[in-house]
Amino acid sequence: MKQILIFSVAVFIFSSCSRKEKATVNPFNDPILFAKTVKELNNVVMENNFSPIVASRNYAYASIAAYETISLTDPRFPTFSGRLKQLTPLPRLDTNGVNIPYASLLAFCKVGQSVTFPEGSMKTYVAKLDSMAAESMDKEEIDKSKNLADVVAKHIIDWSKGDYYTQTRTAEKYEVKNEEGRWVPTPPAYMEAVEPHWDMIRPMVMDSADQFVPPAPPAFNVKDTSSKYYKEVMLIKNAIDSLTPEQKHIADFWDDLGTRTIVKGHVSFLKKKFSPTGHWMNIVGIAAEKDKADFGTTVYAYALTSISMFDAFIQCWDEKYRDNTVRPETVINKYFDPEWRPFLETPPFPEYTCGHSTISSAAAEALTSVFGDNFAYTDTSELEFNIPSRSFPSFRAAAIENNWARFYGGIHYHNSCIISNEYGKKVGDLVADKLKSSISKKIN
Amino acid sequence: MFKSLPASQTKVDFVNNPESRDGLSILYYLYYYNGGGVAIGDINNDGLQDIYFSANAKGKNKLYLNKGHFQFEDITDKAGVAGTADWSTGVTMADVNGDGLLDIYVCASSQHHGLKGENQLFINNGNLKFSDSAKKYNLNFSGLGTQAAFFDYDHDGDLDCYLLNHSLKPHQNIKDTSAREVYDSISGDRLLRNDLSATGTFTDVSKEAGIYQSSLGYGLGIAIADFNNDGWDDIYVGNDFHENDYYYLNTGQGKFIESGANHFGHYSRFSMGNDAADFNNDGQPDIFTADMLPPDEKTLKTYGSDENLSTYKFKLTSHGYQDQVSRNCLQRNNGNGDSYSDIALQAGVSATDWSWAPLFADFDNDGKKDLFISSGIVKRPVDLDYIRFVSNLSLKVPENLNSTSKYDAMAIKEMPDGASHPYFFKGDAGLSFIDVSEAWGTENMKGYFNGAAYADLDLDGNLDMVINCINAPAVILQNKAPQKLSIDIKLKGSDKNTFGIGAKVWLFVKGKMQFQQLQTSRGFMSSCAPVLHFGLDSSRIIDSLLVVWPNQKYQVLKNVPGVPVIEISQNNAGGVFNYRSYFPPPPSPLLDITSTFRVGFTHRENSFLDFNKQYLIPHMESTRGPKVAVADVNKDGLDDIFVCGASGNPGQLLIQKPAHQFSPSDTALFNASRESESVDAVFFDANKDGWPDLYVVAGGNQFNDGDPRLADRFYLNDGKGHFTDASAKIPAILKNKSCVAVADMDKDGDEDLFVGGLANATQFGIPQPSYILVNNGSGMFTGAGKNIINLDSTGIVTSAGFADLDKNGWPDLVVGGEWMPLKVFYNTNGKFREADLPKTTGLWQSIYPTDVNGDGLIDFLAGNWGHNSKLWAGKNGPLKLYIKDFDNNGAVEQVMCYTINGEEYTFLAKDELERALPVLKKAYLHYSDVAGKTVQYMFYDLFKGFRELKAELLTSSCFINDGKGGFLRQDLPDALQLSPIFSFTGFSNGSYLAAGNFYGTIPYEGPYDALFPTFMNYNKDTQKWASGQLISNLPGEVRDLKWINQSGKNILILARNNDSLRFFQPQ
Repeated sequence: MKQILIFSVAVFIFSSCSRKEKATVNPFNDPILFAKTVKELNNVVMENNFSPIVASRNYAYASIAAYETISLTDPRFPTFSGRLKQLTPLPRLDTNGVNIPYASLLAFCKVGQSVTFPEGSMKTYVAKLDSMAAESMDKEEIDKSKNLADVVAKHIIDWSKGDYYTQTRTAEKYEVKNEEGRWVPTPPAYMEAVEPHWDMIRPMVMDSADQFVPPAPPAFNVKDTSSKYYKEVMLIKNAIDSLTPEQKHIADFWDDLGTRTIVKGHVSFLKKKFSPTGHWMNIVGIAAEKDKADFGTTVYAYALTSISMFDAFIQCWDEKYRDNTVRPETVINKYFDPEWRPFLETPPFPEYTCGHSTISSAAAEALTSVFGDNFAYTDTSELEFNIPSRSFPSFRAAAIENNWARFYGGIHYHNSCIISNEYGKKVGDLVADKLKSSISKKIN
Repeated sequence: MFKSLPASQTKVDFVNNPESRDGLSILYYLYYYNGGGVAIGDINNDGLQDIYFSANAKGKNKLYLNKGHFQFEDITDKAGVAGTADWSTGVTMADVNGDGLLDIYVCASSQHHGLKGENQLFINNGNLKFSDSAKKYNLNFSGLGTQAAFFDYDHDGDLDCYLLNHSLKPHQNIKDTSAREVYDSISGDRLLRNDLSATGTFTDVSKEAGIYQSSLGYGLGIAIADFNNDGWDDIYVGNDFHENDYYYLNTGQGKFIESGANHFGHYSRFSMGNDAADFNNDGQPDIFTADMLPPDEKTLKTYGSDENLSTYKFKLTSHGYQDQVSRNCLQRNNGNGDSYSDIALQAGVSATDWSWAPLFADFDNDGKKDLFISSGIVKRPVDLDYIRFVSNLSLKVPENLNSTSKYDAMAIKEMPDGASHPYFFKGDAGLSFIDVSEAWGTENMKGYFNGAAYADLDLDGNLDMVINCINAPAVILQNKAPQKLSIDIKLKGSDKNTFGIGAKVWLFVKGKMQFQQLQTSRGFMSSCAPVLHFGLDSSRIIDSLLVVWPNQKYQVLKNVPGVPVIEISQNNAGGVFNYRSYFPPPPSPLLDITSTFRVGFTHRENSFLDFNKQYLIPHMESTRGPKVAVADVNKDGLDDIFVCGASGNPGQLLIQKPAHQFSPSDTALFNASRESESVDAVFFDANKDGWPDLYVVAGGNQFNDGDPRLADRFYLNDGKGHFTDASAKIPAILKNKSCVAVADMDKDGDEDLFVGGLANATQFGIPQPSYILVNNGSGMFTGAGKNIINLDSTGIVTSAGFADLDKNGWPDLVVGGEWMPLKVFYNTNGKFREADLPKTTGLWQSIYPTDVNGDGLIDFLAGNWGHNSKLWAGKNGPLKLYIKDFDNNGAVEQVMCYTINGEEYTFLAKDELERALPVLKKAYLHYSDVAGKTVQYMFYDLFKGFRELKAELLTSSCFINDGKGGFLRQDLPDALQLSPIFSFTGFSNGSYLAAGNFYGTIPYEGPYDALFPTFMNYNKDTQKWASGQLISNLPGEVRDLKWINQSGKNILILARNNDSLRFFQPQ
């Protein structure tokens, strides 16, 4: 599939840049091209096996670089500097003779490359953009655009270095203890806990990781059948034992586990999908295309959505490692049924709150602020993985479906998802409000 | 030495072509490439050994009749033994019905993936024809059969049957060990008692005999032997995956008790075939278990390493499983099965790739057993890049194509080849083997070698090999070793066990002993001929030969001529053999009197894992306790002790009372610093009041520099044996430290201190300062200046001692540590001159000054990391540690590398290093990009500006003082190189006891648990060391050995990490 996709991009490039159009049409001023570029980063992120949470960082910084570029000339979209934590204004830049959409794409790729592997992970793609530029621009315009993209990218990369990401690479690991109700590694990969110190990452819009602290989860209790915890366990156990095809579709559709581990004896391999953030980045593209949004609006939508997810993950992870709650699979295997399996693979971090529900809700708020509520769309992102599309009356409806998806997947209690949705919304609303633009719609 | 004979010559044209069809491949059946077995035996009693091969396809098993001179005839069809199962596995020849003819028992893997069939018992009719009688004998088990072993577990004179089965469930969700009790109808092992004489059939006694019958059992290897020398045959089962191996001890009352945890420190993780035999000629059956570790750098680094320690502990130990290591284990029996020491790394036999059949036998007839290992897998599914490839393949192939033959074909085609060769290791009857595959002619035989068996096929006096191969003709290796003498012993049983299975033979020639017990099921899915082959080298006479039959009747034969073949008949045996009176244990120098002591103290290590904080630290530094300090603090004539405690479990002052009792004293005082980790302590009279005071060193590698919990404590004795905190009188050194030593180094009449610095708890590898603390005469201490000694960056000090090495009357200082040389600081008039001992950088753990050779000059013993280690095995250059913040993230990384043929390779694989250094992915995404490449290549332009530390030497050593300022280094004996040594102590008779062990490693390095406290002696005439006895029932991480005086008697205290104190009395 990936090869086919690259091929289609190439066709698009060659059909849209014939010489006679050179003078009149800027082939880079194309929101669909921007969406395809994001998808290109998505593919690299997927191949790199980034955890979903680190993936959110990859998209956010790259999108902000693209946004800051367009903000130089599009007054609808003023700079985020001063509105994103510690982001300073760009140096004074001469935009005369610069192809801003081209520069915006280049800045996106440059930042995207700097956070992915191996060195030059998007080199081939950028070369295609460059040859497309050579077809439609003179050298001076190309050079000016590249220089500007370099300055913007460097500015964003420099800013990103202060977010404590590098330091958390060697932060102390989660300590596995055999305490009732405390998270332990889960089958089949038994991976160590992912990013136990993500609360140390600098949020972009929130004042701190614990700006929005959810209520504590129900107390662990597998003995008292009337306890809230016990009831939640039974609810999920019974649900998984009798999933309908529709429920399975919903769970699969929102699985978004970057890598699923398949173990067959000595053979074990990974099955890759988008991460949750990758999935929502795709939805941004679908919405922008359906809305026939222009280049600037499209870039804004990506930036806003990726920032809302970046902060939402920090909010959620702060809570996850405050409570360190055990996963349903561990509890049910240990106390109720050793043969019970969730429908989806349990991701390697504590249960409460739910990351996907949190970021889905945050992303839905961001998108609602750009494209409006009751924006019906069909999400075709999962076709790539042979999962049929689903249609939604609104972004918020999609986020609510996600609550059920994680529950049907057997990996989150439904109560956790509902709370996650609520807190993701708080983060999304905050981001949409702080970063609103002249095109933003009132969402509350 | 071995010549592979072609099928055109031998007419042995057997090929194992595993059945292939949709839904039956390595993607579905995890044991698809396990191959078939070989059984060798003389089915027509013509003196020539015949061969049976099993195949992974219906009706493809073959029986070849030996016509002599390596000529064979395929008599499968006339004999009626082609088999009816779809997938045959292990095969065993045994006289099941006791009529004097070898029958053939073939196991089948069935009841899964559409495979049908059941185990078959071909009863030998005596006319080269066989009848399948499995059903009649109740031996027609149908399930995941691996191999059968026949033995007389109840001493009733007939052969009972143990059925080893494997399992299918992938056990993605690890169950705890209580699941062993859950019966599974097609997997789990079975024991069937031979009741032919009573009921005419076999009776399944698995449950009453205590045999686990659950799907946790991934049985791939079975060994039967009397491991504990009680006369009853025991069972060792090798289990693949996280189930540990089973060690069933026969109670003699129809029951087996799985007792592995009491006798083994660890097992192979992915146990395949195994063998039980006495490789070191001490008369004790040892055990070899094959695993999958690749021997070469390139394969090793694409193979996937073990889990990190925290995940490993969760998956295995917290689910009830014992420790396991992903490598071959050579479990040396330390005597009567009391304990086993895995010495495979030191012996050089730990890594033979994807291995199946290990077999001990004396192939060159020198009287020392050698080791054969078959190896190779058609497709290597664990290759990390392959896993990456399949992962991407699943993206590229539409879902509806998944699980189809086209997808499967693609997935299998890309799986890398795992061809290997048959390995031969020549044994020295000691602790080492040499890989002689090249010299013996098998190194270039590339293929997939599974079940195997040995026998003298051409009656020329040496053992030939037969190997069952996948997709290639079976291999017959003719042994063309230079002529040496040998003897084949055939055993004629007097009852239904006609071939004397289970009989033991000890053979004594010129003061040397060899021992074998007859059991035909060996190696992997195979059985050898019921003949015991002993190499005699050049001896024509066997001085004496002891044979003990399963019913414990025995016979001694003297001056037996070394003829090629003799037969010994059970009819000539008599009496009842008593092992302990025949082989009386040598008197132990130490009597364990622990049970007579009442001590309310057990050391409890806290749960801190250094790897969670410093991902790349070579090993933990937080489990170095407890050390013990000794003095009679209340002057009642009984020595008292202070035992150091880990953080959260404070050390204790234990006052000795009469009648072997120790009572805690001043607990409130010591509990005040309970969060500190005390790592060393010493009693000394600091203030010259005649009463011993106490200095306690703090460390633990958990607290960062500056943490108040790193403050040492100093306690003054009040003259009544009680203590008060006087820590204000010592400098506050808030660093992670390790040791203390005492001497009046300036000869001013008071005792001064050396305090060793270990490591910064966030920057392992950066050399740390150590300290001399000078006493002002009244017990007030200040750090010595550089004019006295320069200890600013001494290193990672672990141990130190004062001794006047140069006999100038001033105490000199010897300091050892990790990644540093042994340092001697010569003291002249209270000022020290530093001299490093050349070529001694190592991982030193202990220093023990003593006059070894009685020449009046102080020598010293130094405990190092030893040889039974991945850091030593197969390496031939310095171990290195590169220290730097390679990725500029503010944290120091440690990159440990070993040297092979001058090239340096990282110890850890790419993915492990990338956890701490994600930047490494920037240059190389694929494992094969860097596998087998040097560290310089892997780190490209990052590899500069580092600090380089070395450990050239891992050998625990003795340093003999030549009196001229030099030291002659001598290796301690091999038996002392099995683990890091943490403590030595001397005995009045001039012998020494050494002890250690260390578990604080990542699973890939594995726990060091093989050293049991071992004696050693220095022969002053030959100037050589020899190892002596060991304390075989004392496992654990010994940290200190100290003598105490108890009413005039000397008692030895042995202190272990996370364990109780033990007490011994010399005798």
